[in-house]
Amino acid sequence: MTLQSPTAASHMSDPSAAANPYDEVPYPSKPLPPSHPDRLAAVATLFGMQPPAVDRCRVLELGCATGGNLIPMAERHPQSTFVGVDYSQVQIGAARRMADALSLSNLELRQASITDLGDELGKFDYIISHGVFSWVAPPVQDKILELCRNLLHEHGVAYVSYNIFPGWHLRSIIRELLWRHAPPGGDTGERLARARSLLEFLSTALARQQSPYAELLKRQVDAIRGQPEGYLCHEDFETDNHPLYFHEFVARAAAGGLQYLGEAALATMFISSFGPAIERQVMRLSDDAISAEQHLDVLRNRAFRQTLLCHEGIPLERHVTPDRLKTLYVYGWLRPQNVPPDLKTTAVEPFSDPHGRTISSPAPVVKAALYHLANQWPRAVSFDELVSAAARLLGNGSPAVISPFEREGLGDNIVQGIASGLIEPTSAPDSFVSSVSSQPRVSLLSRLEARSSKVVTNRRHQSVTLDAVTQNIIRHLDGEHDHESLLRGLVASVERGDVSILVGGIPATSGEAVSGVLHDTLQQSLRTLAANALLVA
Amino acid sequence: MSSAANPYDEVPFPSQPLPHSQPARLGAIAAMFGMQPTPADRCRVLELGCATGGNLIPLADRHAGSTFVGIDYSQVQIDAARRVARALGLANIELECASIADLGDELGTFDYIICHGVYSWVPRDVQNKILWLCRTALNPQGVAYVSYNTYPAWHLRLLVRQALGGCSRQGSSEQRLAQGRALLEWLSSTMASDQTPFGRLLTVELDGILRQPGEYLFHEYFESDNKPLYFHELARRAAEAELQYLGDAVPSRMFAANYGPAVEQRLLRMTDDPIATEQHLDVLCNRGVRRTLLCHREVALSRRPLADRFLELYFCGQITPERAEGPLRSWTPATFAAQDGTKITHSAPLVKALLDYFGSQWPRSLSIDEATRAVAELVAAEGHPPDASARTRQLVIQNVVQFVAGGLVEPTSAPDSFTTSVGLRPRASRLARLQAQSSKGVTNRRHETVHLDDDSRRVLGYLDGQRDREALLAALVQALERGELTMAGGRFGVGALGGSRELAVAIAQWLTQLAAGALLVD
Repeated sequence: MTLQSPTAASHMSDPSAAANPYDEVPYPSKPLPPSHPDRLAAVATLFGMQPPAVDRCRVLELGCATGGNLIPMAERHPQSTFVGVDYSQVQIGAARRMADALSLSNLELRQASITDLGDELGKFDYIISHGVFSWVAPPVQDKILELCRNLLHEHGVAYVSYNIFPGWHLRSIIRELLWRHAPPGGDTGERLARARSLLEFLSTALARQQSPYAELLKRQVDAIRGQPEGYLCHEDFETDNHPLYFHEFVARAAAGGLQYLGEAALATMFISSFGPAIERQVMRLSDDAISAEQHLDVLRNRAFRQTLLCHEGIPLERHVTPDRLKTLYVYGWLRPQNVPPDLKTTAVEPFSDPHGRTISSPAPVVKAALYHLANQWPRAVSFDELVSAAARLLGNGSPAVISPFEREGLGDNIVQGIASGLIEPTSAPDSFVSSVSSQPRVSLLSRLEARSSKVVTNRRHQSVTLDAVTQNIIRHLDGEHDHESLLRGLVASVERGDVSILVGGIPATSGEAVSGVLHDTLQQSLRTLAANALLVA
Repeated sequence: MSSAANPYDEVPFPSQPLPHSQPARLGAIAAMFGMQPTPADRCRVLELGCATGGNLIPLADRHAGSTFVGIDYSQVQIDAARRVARALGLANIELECASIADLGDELGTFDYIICHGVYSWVPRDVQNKILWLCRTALNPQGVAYVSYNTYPAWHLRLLVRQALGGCSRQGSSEQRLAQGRALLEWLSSTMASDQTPFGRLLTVELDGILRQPGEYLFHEYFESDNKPLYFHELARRAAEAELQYLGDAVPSRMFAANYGPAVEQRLLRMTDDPIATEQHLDVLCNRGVRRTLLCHREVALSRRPLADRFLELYFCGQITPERAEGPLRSWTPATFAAQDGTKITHSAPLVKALLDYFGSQWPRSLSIDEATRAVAELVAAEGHPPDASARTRQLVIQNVVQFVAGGLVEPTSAPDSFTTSVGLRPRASRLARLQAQSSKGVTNRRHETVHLDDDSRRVLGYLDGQRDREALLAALVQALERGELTMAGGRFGVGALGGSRELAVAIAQWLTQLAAGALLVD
């Protein structure tokens, strides 16, 4: 189980972007996969809600910064409408330039303070507020919850991320010291220098103390030292910083007429990842789901949550049954440990993910479905597809018959895979292709992003970092160029010196060897783009 | 005040002597840093939150020439304290049930004000009142002692409190305590297999908490009001109350040098502010409690210990020689262990002799003059007279300053009020004898709790200064016959029946033990 760490929040500015004169379109804020309506709808569905369809919904983001999260959503779901609000005119200006460049007509961007917002915005199916709640004063926090309550449709879902105790206890210690040693006011550069010298002192001095406390604090100090300065500015110099306990957040949401639906990082909700003994103990000590999760926060020293809320009174079913999967799609980066796996006998076959976690089963139907899922990565497949693929893989010429009992068992295993984080659910079908076509195309957004940045947004709403050659190629993937034309373009770029390549370890610009290398490079880049959910046609 | 509403009426807080709060210690630290404190044997002392008098009564018993006022919010506790004071016939102590919030000028002024285990547990206005009383009721050269819970360590403890907060608030104190213990034990056993730094940190913390007695656990973790703060916040609040930071009740904790030269040098480069320096040290060692000494802001303090003031103080140190490669007067290294396990190695004959003498005299306190004479004797070369010259004395002072800063020896401003030699008619204090009747823990003349086994308690009860060895033996023979002495496990090589000869040997051993525990008075 990996812990979410507090990510750089959306209303911070990134000084490195401002310092880059080649940035035609500043684009510092990032897509946040757990906040995507696809994910919110999938979690809601698993817990028994009937959430609004993601391809025809209204979405509000409070604190949208430069649109890094909202713009890719708007591009991908043209039938849905999006409203982004941010307090910074500079950031809203940057977001508008990007939206204009993409000719998005389904996105409205407003400069406003959260405290001034009201009913005039209309109602929404999904409301997102990331990296804001912990960094504003309590009245603004209440206003965020009030907006979630007042502006959310009956079956809508709100996403609010925030910093929590116990993880922030330790961060608070460092913050306190930084504030003492590098107090606000004066020159920011000087303040940062003082902060850096303090962190360096702590790191050195703590290294001498032999205790779990010193080790833990040093780890935190070093993590902060490794961050870019903008992060330090934000996380530790921001005036308002109000971590709270999970149960306190839930109580405040309840006071505002909202109930806890679940976590965007779904697997963190499930105790089973700690093993059956601890699961039993937690259940015995806890009156309800909230206190059980509160105990888990302590066990994990959790520092951050991305909580989903819905209206009070909406019936939720905490026990996830396989029938909830019928409207969802699932994907998972799985590899069979034995290639090919033995599907037809009852030999146990383990499948691993890149974190080394495994899911195993002796059941032929389950193994065949997992094998299909592994082969289809990065595609998301429906439950029906899993069943028919398993029938095909287990059949002799004609598909095998899958009994209702086996179908149910497969459903249970997929739910287990979701609970342990090896399998991800989503509510919308893929909007990318996983094979390379003769005239490959990436989204206009990714092409624009690639003009100024190595980091582009894929169709899974993730940031993908490209190498220099792929960054060059992606700008030409508009669906108008075939492979031959792409290769000519790449050769020209190399000759102009826009892209440098090594042939035999030596930088080269022309010749037979170069075009041979570039042919292979192009094919490799296209396969990488397909595997990273960047090709839309 | 409704006594039912006061949790301290229901579960009395264990009230014990607090060695670091005794006026002789406070006075010594004040003198070290340049103050002119009132001697502990003719001073006025106020304790805010005196509970059942466990701290104040032994002080009143020991310093008959001083007067003491104890205030507590719990009538039950004050009544218990008064019963003990009456039994001891103490005329120099006044015990009152009152709320700190209601206290005013009527108390008069004091040379020492002690407030232990209160500050972090009361509302903010009472916290302010405590600091203002330390200002308004303190004589110009007076010293106030305030203990409180600090961050960073309390960040983790608040986490544990938080976890306990999930337990039921219903039911009796015992039920809540039992539930809380069950939860902590579960957390501890779950975390035990977690080898991350956080897992190990929480396990250590939980096990430490679980070892605490129930009363302590209840008050620290179930009381609603617990407001830890950073040291620098307390210092700022003290400044707002027109007080200043004098020092820590454990002076060695103030010195960055104890954290190694690298830490000391880097700290010096970063700040020259003593508050900031100590704040950094708190973070490095994860400090959870402070016992802070405050004085009036008008007092001119030296931030370094003043060597010449050491002449008026006494010092003791439980130092054990570990390994020596030659005689003291040679220049070969010798290693000594301090009470807390710290090892110190020295080659200089004078330093070795000084450490050795401290160890040999423990628990006695020594003046600089006595230490100088002893050291001179120990290192005198063959055929040369001991050199107790001014220069030797200067070297002794310099080293004792280092020992105090390093935590090897403790300073005190009052001479010992106990004897380490067993007299003809040995006597223990009335207080110790009274305590021994009902408790295994008795208070010695170093203002510490000493835990005695049942036989030692019984023996202590007979040490009224009226009995010589023969009378003592006769009394104990009778006690043995009545079955009041267990002579458990033939501890002194005495058979179950124990003839009077064996008993006489045992008495000698008991008396030696009690003397070493600073329980015998002249």
